[in-house]
Amino acid sequence: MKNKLRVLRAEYRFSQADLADKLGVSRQTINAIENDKYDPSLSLAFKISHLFGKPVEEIFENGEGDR
Amino acid sequence: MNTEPDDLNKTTHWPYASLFFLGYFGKNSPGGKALFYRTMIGALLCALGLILSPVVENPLFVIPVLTLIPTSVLIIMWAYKEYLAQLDELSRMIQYESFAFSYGIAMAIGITIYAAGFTFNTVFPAAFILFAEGVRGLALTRIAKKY
Repeated sequence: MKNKLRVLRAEYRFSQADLADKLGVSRQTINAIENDKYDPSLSLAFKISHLFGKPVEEIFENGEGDR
Repeated sequence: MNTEPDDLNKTTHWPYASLFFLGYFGKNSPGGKALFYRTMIGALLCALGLILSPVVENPLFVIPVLTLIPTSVLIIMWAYKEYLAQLDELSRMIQYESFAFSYGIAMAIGITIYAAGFTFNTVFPAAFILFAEGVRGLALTRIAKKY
């Protein structure tokens, strides 16, 4: 699943550690999401959506062939 | 909030040494210290049970000594349950995947060793435990590397 997390993080000038702290996850989790290695849970996706004030579907894009 | 998102393209690393040798994300992970001390208590009780069970002959003490071993396992199980509840979702998933992988390998090897015992009239449970622990460490590091 593609996402715009890195772009949004840059816009808000958050480091990965800042974002991880705000979301209550590890920095490795943020890194894995940004690199499309891990799809976040629904709960985490909503937390991200709430933090950046954007709908989930604007941040995460379900590409063809994704799980 | 930082003024410079200096880690924009940085990659992160997992605590591979802890994953391999300890079988979890280390003492610095959330709940890591508690897991360490709880599993140590469990391991000590297990060792005590293993040391005392062959030497205790008084029936009054046999049952309490024998309960030390399952009690130690229950303590370790509870310690991991508490630890998993404190991990973040990706770390928890990695830990679960490694448990599943190790369980499969342990079952395969355990049954093989059990069957081999019929032919060779001996089994090496200590070697099996060491092997299972090694597999768990290896599985954790390999799975963590995927992320």
